[in-house]
Amino acid sequence: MKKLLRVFVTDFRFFIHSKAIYVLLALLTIIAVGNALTSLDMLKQNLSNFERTKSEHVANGEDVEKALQDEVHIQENKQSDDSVLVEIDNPVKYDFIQAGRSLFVLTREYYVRNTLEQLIFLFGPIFFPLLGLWFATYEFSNKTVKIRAIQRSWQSTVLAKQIFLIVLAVAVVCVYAITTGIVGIFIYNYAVKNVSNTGELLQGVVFVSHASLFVKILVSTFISSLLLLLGFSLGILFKKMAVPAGIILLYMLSFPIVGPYDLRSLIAVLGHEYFEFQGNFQYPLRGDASFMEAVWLLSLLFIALFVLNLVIAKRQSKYIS
Amino acid sequence: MIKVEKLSKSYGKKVVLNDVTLEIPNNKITFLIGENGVGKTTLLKTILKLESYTGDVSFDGQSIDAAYGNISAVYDDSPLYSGLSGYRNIQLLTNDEIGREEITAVASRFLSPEELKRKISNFSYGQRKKISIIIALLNNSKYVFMDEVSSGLDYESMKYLKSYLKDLGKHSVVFLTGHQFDFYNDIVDEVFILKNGFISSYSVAAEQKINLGNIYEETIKGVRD
Repeated sequence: MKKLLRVFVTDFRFFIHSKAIYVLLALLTIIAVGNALTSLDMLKQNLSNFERTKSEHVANGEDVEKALQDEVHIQENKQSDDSVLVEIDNPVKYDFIQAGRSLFVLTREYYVRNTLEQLIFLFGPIFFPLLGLWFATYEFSNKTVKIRAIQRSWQSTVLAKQIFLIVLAVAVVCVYAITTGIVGIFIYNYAVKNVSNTGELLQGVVFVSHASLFVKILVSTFISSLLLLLGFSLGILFKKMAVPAGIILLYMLSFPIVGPYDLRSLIAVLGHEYFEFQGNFQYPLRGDASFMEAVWLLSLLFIALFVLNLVIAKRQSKYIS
Repeated sequence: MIKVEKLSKSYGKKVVLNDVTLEIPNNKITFLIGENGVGKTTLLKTILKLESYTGDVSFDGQSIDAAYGNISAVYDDSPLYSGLSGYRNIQLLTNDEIGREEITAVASRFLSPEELKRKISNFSYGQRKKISIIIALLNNSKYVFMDEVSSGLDYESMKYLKSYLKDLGKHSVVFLTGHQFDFYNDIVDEVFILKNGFISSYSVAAEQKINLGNIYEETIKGVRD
């Protein structure tokens, strides 16, 4: 246990001294700030749309109050050229709801969920595997593996490194959630400065929570740990950054989904089960596997990667010339 | 004592080590001699279990698992974290937690405090070697392996290293390889000669002045010629 702790502390120190932690924090900040700016911009745009549609209705002599009381129906018609024509029978109400939704995204209740959705499901599939990959390969690229592997067995070092990654996932998700939760309060206050009818706008929003924030954080931690381990496994296997980084980017960005049990598809099942995606990030991917299948398969993959890394660590050459 | 029994190692069809059996004694300095590419580094890798092999290697009767944490190795290429300073490397790569004062005391024999603060990527080959030696010194291990340890060092550092190795040889298992025979001549107690995958040994009697160059000429080149 003491030996594992020494590996853990060494990796933590390396993470600090190599400035990797600053790169990580900078990336998280960029994601969070980007999300805040996009959300504010969307609110501004939707409020402007609503005001314009309202003015047009008034100019046409139509009753705006009545329109706001009435239902809105949206019909999507597929055209001959495969494009989709969206018909909205009550644009005033529609724009009112859209403005309300974009304001709701900035509320304390939803802002953290929204930022987590973006971190885990939009940026996560690239960000976490690449982080895990870098973490696995730095001992090989510096050739320090041949020093670390005689301090204690390389297998126990890899075990400690994997535990470090899981702790890192917990830390990233929790710190991100807490920070965006605090920052979100200021952003909301800033956003509503020039909005007079916040109460009315928020009343129009129908929001069904899929899970508590605590459960969302747990699911986010699990998915980010899994993605970190995936990158770590590729790093342990290849011992180099370039090829596995290419594989990750190709697979996550351009490789077509291969059936319901594709990793991305399974993550999507979990995503739609626990997250609402009502903010400015609409998760386009919908998994075809059942929820239980997704949970079992992802858990099995997590365990398989964890064990596989230990097996590879035992068998592989620890000498880089 | 490190006991190697029937150790064999092949890369594909090429047999590098063939049923090698040897004993690296306690409290002595053992030197491995052989031509380039003959398998000296492979023997080092296998003893340290950095690569798989067939045969047995034991450290004082136990597997290497029991010796972990009590082994130090200085490799010819001095692997270090290139993005970190010399000081940080020492801090991270020693076997156990070592305080700043102790690090500074040992390191000052080889490098100045200013040099220690510089990034490894700006270090010369010799300076990198010095950091590796400092780490080995601070580890104060029972089992010490050094591959081409003297190459790249300046005169003062070599002088200090030599006296350090002499002391270390009194209470540790020291295993050296290299080609700068003049450096090792008066500190070596045992010589192993590796040729064609096989090992032969040569013990140095007390007070005997050894000449590794002659041994090399006779056993490696002589046999070949």
